[in-house]
Amino acid sequence: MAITRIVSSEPLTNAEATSWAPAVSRRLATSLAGRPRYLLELLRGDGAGFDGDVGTPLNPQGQLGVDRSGPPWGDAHLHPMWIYEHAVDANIAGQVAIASLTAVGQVATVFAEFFNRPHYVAPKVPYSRAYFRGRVTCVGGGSCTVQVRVYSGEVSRFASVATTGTGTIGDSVTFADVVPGLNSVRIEFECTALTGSSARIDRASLNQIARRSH
Amino acid sequence: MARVRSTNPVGVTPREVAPDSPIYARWLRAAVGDTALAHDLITGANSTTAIDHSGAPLGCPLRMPLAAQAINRDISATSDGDYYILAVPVFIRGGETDTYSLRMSVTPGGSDDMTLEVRDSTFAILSVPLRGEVEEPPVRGDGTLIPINRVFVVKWNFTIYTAGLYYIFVRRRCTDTNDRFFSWSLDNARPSAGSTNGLFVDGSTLVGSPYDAPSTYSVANNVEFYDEEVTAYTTGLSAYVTSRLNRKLNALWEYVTGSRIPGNNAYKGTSTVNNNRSTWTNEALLEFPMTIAALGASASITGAKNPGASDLQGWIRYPVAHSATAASFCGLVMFMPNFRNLTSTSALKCTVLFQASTGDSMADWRFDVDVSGATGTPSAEVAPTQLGTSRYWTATVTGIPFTAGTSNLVDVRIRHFTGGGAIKHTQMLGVCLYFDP
Repeated sequence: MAITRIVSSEPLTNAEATSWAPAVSRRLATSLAGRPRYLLELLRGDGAGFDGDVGTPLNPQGQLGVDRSGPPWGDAHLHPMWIYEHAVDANIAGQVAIASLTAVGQVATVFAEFFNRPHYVAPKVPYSRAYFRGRVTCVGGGSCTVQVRVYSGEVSRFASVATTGTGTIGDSVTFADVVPGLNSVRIEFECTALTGSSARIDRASLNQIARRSH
Repeated sequence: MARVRSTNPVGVTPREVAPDSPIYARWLRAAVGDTALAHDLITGANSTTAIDHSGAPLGCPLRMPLAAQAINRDISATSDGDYYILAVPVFIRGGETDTYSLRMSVTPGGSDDMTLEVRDSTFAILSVPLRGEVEEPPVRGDGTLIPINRVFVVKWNFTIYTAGLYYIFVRRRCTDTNDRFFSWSLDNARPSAGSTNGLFVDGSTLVGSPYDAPSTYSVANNVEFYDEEVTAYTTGLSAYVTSRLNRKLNALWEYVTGSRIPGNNAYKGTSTVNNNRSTWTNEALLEFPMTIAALGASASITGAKNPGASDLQGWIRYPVAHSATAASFCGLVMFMPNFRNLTSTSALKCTVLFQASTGDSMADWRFDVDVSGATGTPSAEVAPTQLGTSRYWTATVTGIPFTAGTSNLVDVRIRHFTGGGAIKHTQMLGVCLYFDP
């Protein structure tokens, strides 16, 4: 079937829409009449009730409409992509931390395996990165310093936290480059200073943290 | 003056906007009306049902991954029995009743005879229990299998037909030692990705910004059009109307797509769709899955020992006392979306699944969720309810305060309502965090 109602993604320049500008039907009418249909299709996720073919392309998951997977398919939401759960309480048994590092130089490794949403693949789009956040507890008094390294292939990005009690670890540069679909990210923790009995890596997560771009 | 707004999309035929065709007021009216309809759909203004991404015509489903968690625990069992090594609540969004894919990574012995059961709030099973499909080991060039000393992935695809809360159980019947459960994930079994042509995205560099939009897109500065502006003209087409309509479309484009106007090198507006910001109260509150955390296996509870026997000792979680002080049994750190986060109106919920000794009532236990840094106070406590007449219980905490748009520490807590008394044994199995307005 053919398009029965005009559809367009072309904006008008400021000059085309000013007083005394020539009213060029191909530009003026197509843009002003066609873009509402384009937007309605993106919003509704269907042909907007018009007969004939749809005028918008398929989104990254192969459907019609914006799916909030990052521009141009709507701004993305923030959420965790992978978690390691752990809580400490004397009245609860059976909880196990990611690692307890008892000596300087000791390294613990965890692999984060997760699905990433289909998204428009381009530099700096929201779902192109998974940002690390975690919590470190210095056990037995004293102080400790832990470095986290998040790997994208052979490239690692790292951050450290030095704490005397409990501290959060992960910052604006501690991320892994990720792709749509299944990902496996290697995360390493290294104790770089310790005066207490151990540095315990409590909870952790990889997160999508951007609305439009990084 | 009557605001021009299409009840349903009207559109304009290609013939009416062909080169050299006369410019009629009717297509301008249709364009203005359809633009106003698009505005109302995204904002929920003027009593319009807002886009909530529950499927056409209310928007494309989000198809968010539901869970991905590292476990790395011992699931050895020395006696045969009904062991649920995974038991978690799952929240399915409205409009996303679909086929889902569950994956569990285990050691080779750990993959023996694993069966998936999907159950509802009465503990009724929704489909025939599904036996897991084991990913084949790699094959040498000569066609023989490489000896197994690696992680096995067991997979299931299952379909949910009605939105809401469900409970997933994976049963393992075997006697093995030195078996481990490494990780699991739950994802929508979505089709392959589509094309991306026709739209533009951040990251490319173009020169010039010839397309104006209002500086932000909001109710306050939204430009409206009225009957008088789109009636038949006697003095020609009004640039006042066309330029404002163009700017409004530009702003709406940025708002809907999250990307700048094609041809501009930066956003002309600044807004993004927040779904729940206080000034746009009609915008749809989204159902949105955050994560699911498996906490431990479900093993038989026998006698005074909790849990019974020595099975699954590496993957069992339970309270050790009837303490009247709240104890955290699930700790998470995660980013929260830019959703409304006021204590009384937060749509964030947490459903807990746990089990009791057969015949024991868990009515004296209470659950809440404490998000550090949100308001300084945890959510209100809730009492659990039983899944049918089974030994499984659930509790859903609502109105959980959190801090939007940043990292939050989340603790799910349990306490005994009165404290003390004869110990009633329970095992904590899983929690599901989600937005459900």
